Amino acid sequence: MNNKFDALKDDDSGDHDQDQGSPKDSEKEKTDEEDKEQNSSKKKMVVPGAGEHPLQYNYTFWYSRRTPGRPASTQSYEQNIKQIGSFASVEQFWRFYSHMIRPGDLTGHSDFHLFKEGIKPMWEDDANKMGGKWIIRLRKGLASRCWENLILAMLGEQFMVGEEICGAVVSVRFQEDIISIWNKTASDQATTARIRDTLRRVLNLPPNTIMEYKTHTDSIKAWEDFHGLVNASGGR
Amino acid sequence: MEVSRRRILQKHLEPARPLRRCLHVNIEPQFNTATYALMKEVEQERSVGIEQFYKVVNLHKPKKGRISYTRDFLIELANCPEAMKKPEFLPEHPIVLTKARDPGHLRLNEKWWNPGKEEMVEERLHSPY
Repeated sequence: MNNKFDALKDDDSGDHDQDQGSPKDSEKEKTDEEDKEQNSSKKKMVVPGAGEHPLQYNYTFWYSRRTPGRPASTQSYEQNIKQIGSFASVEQFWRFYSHMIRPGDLTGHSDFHLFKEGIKPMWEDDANKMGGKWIIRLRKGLASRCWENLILAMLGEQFMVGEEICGAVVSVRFQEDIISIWNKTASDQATTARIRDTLRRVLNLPPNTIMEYKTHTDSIKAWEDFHGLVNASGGR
Repeated sequence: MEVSRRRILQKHLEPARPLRRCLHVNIEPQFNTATYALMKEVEQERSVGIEQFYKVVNLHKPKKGRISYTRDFLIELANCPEAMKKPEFLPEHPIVLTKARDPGHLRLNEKWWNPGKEEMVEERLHSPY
């Protein structure tokens, strides 16, 4: 457990002000060959182009896919997750979105993540560590439409919960797809209730759809239990 | 007898507060005359100054209020040429397309699910968008 946290406890400047990004973060970013181009684009802050419609926050698209055969660890998760790009306006968002395949067309065990710039789509990020997520499991065939409705509501600030939203994820799995939205404070029930109600409205889901809220600490614990890290972390 | 006397005592102690309120009320009318008009004028002048100041600040930091958009508005923008350009920095990746997708599927209204019409939905699911 300690190793896992050390590896991820990062450099984020500590405050949750999305507008500032975190300069240390990009300096420390891995310098693999494949990431060089990405890095140079990340260092300058994205801004809306002239005449474009600015968004309340800048966001970053990420993509991850589980490498078959390799043992899953958080470290390899961080290596597997790839930044696609950041945007600051509606037009810039569509530029990225229209150049990516839709989640419903993904194959294998893969995820799209859309997070506010500066927040990594990881439980351990400073903005996420006290947080949680609403999870909606979807039968196959609904993912693209639901994902679009979810992220359009997030970008358009339809959730009305102040700074609470961190990002959204769509996970393509074998027999089902899962969409989720992450917020900062799992214990803030007024916020989580409002997010749930907004989700119901914007996703236009059947009333019998099951929505589940899960705190990231529970997710971490489940992950550790599953990977047999209980003893390693001192027999908790 | 004891109880009622205590009640009287309590009541007797209370007036301390209303006195302050009275004082406040007495002051209030003085604002309503020329002084008040003057204050308003000063306030107006100052608020214009602040507004101008914010305009200047907002040139550099445009995200002051909460910027919200409806789904329909966002989708309308998906069809403008600006939204179809290829981003300047786009990694080479299997999920990244070389040409922009047609945003046509977005025009479909989201009423793909209707209460009591589940069968229709099923049918929709099996046909391509």
